[in-house]
Formats: sequence, structure tokens, C-alpha cells
Amino acid sequence: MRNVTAAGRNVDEAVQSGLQELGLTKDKVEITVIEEGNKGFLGIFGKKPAIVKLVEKIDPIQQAKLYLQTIAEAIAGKSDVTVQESKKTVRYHITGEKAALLIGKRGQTLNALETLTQLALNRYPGQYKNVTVDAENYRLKRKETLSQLAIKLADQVLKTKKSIQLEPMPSSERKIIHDTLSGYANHQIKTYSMGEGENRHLVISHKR
Amino acid sequence: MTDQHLEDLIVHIVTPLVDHPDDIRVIREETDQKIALRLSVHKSDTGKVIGKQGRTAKAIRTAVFAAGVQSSKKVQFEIFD
Repeated sequence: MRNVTAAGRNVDEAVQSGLQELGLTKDKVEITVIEEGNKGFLGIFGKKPAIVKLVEKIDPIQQAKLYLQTIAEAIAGKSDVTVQESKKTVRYHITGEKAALLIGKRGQTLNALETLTQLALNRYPGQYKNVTVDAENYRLKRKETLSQLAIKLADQVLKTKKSIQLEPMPSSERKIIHDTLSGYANHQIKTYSMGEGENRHLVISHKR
Repeated sequence: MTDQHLEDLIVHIVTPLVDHPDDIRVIREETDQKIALRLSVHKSDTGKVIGKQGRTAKAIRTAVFAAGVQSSKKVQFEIFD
């Protein structure tokens, strides 16, 4: 964390010179006044400069971004990360020549990066944020694939009246299928999850 | 290319997850076919790098493997206390 101690004729000037040295704006630092400063008598006697200490504020979202970027580069070489922030969620999108390496089998690597970034981001006190990590628009594509799969399987269930078990998936992917099929075919289909932890998977079945 | 980056990567991944970053150690044992990387952390941090049902440990392992594919050797990752 960078910090600087700066002096000036008054507090404002000291802060300004400190900011200049750090190359930051006022909202990015924590300011502590060490010495108020004194103009002195007639500006000559008892003159004391104001002294302030500026400490760069930690921005957890930016910290987590750098954290993620370093891991991504260890795997896929030069990469860039863009951040999109909303109230409860922070989305990181990784781009780079070899970003495809970051996805892994069924998004395994992407999910691992997501878990780690989420932990790194929420280690600072403050509001708890959800993290999503994406590369090459994998999440969006996966969503389309899953909805199509859900509808295909639901049609099959309607025809045969037999339940179908899907392979284990993370909660975010199960949610996509639940959402796609809620109310599908006049509420003749129900979806529920079975198994615990890593083994948790969806079942699509016919309501009778 | 040397594989030193795998050790650095592990330290980088683990640092923000623990309370005692100075106690992170990665030991490397290399043979012709494989590289074994063993992570140890401060006693009170062991649970943090393993996580609920080994979730964190698994995520670290996946990330390390993904970085290790560039190497021709098999990569092994363990946490010991």
C-alpha cells in the first residue's frame, strides 16, 4: 500500500502536494493531519508548515481484479480483465489471445477462478459481493446451451412420462434450467435437485 | 521455460486467503515425470485454504493444473499440515 507524508503552507496545500506525488485524486486516499500548521505572526515568526499523511485506500474490487489477472496470466499469458459492478454482484470478464485456456472442461477452470476471486474480494470487511468470472462469453453461451438442453429433455419427459437425471452441475447452472422450465408446457413439468455438494444434480420429471 | 512460476502462482493465490501470509511455504519435489508441489500454511490458516468440503483446495488445485499444462510433466498439488 502506498503512502506519503507531505508538507505545505496550510492543510489544503499539503494535501494537494501529497496527491500530486502519489498521482491520485482526493477520494482515493485516507488523509491524516499530523500538524495543522501555523501562519505565524506577520508570516515570519513562529511559522510552522502543515503536515499531512496520505494513505492510498484499498479498493477491494480493484485488488481482486489484479489478483484474478495475475492468475489468468499464469495460465493463459497476457490477459486483460474488465470489471462490471452492480449492487450485489461484481462481474469480471477476461479477454486475451489464449483466454479459451481459462475455461476448462465444462467451465471447471472458470468456476475455480470464480471461487478464488470471490474469497479474495470478500476478505475485506464491508458488503458481501457475489463474483462472476467469464472468458470468451462462455457463461452466456453456456446459458443458451443449457436452456436448449432443458427444453429438449422436458419434451422427452412429456412424451415418455419418465424422469430424467442430469449430470452434476454448479448451482448457477442448475438455476438456469429451473428458470427455463418453470411453467413450461402448462406446468406439466417439475424440476428438483438431488444429492449433496459436488454431486448435486437436477431431475426433470412429469407432474401427475 | 522453467516452472518456477507454479510456486509463485500458488503463493499468489493463497496470500489473500490467509491471515499469516508470511508462513506460506511451497515445497517442490521434481522427478522425471512429475512435479509435486506441497503447500503448508500457518496452523490456524489450514482450514481457510481447504474451505468448506474442500472447495477452496479444489479451486486452487484446478487453477494450478491449468497453469501446469504448459509443462510436459504431470503436476501434483497437496496441502499438508
